[in-house]
Amino acid sequence: MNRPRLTTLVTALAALLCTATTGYAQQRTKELTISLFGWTMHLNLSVGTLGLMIILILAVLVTVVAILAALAHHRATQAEVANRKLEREIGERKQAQEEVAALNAELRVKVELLGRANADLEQFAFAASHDMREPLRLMVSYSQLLLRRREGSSDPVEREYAEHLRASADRMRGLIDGLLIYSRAAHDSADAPTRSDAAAVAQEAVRLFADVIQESGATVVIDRLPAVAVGATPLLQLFQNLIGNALKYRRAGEQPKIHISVVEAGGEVCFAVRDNGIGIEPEYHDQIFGLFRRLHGSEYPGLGVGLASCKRVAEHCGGRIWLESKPGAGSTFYVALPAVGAASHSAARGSGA
Amino acid sequence: MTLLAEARRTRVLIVEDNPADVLLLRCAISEIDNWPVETTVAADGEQAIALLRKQGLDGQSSLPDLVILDLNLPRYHGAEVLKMIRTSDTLVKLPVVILSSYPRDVMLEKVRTHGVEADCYYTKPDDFDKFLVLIGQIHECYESVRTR
Repeated sequence: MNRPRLTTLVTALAALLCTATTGYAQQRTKELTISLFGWTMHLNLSVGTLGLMIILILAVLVTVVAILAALAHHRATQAEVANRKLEREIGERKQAQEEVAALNAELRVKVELLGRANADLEQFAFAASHDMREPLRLMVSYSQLLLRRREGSSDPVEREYAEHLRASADRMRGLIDGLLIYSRAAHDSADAPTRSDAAAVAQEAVRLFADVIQESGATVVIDRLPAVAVGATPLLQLFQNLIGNALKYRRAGEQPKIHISVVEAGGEVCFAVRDNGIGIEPEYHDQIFGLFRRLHGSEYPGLGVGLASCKRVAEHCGGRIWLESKPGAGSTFYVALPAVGAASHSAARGSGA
Repeated sequence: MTLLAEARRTRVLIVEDNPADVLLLRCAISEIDNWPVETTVAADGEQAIALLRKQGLDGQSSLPDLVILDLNLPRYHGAEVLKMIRTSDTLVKLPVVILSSYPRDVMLEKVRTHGVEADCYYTKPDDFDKFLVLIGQIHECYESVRTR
């Protein structure tokens, strides 16, 4: 209750008490008859007593009113406090929301920048490998011309030099081509439509190896495969590399057996490409996915690009790749890819079984 | 007359800025027995345009029989040179072969954005043996355009 109201109340009460005292001093009697439903009450009251009663009633009334007013005021104050608290909370929440929105905007900008940097880098790798091919093409051609001229030469050293030149240029070309394939792997998977029929793509990949399959007497079994939420180009690249490896790294004197099967679970389609080849030591299971990483020499020729591209393609499509293998026990490569109708391309969840 | 025309060498204008490529083309052409060719070289787009305009004014007989055109050229892109050829009354029928390091689809795109077409498109080969094969293909392309 605030001070001015209290003062008014006290003054009012004091004034009433003064009036009562004055009235009581006059002491004049008055008879009062009250009739109600045939019952009559006679009151013989002095005017002073009556005045006092009125004053008392008034005082009680005023007190009640004052108490009620005080109560109302108290409630109002409480409501005001609650309101202020609420306003403060709303303000704090608003500020927090603004901060979150600002952070989100910042994050979006950073993601965009990162995406652009990544695209630039891919563009750079693509352009660089294309441009590097140019002088190399001429080196290869001219070393060939030198070799042609040296064919009749009696100096075997000159011939050897020219051959080394040619072999090195060829190797360099292979590496640059590999880089081109690797950088294209991401391009292709980014631009491709997002649905393909795995059975048709796997069969197409097998057809590409028709000669090797016939020559090696390989058997390739393909189970019923579903559609996946990945384009045909990246999917073909995956199957082509895995089938190609299964055929290439076969055990001497043994007919290759390749089995492509599938397990669907949790919005993912997991393909398994199993072979009966030479297998891979577990300590190399991570290494083999690195660009230009190779475990073998010229007995199994290659660039070290295939599995690196597979990993890149799988991850770009929101999937992952890993393997189970032991030397002499064959290898099974697993590729998990988003199923049709599953959540859109999410970030890769890393490789590993 | 027919004998004379057959004996005449095919005059090829090579529009190419890289001398190493020019020499390779000449080496490969010289190894082909059944196609006598004499070559002239323009080392950039501007030279090619100036040369062809001058020859066009001098009359049809001074024009080359075939143009082998690179795309990535200094001063005027190859596609611009081709556009000049295809929009000139005197040069419009000139057989043009595009020979560039781009893959075929990229070449086609670069040329078509200028609203013109060449007669054939080839990617520069990776080694000399393939260059020899390429010269055979260019010869075939030239013959099919000539007899069209």
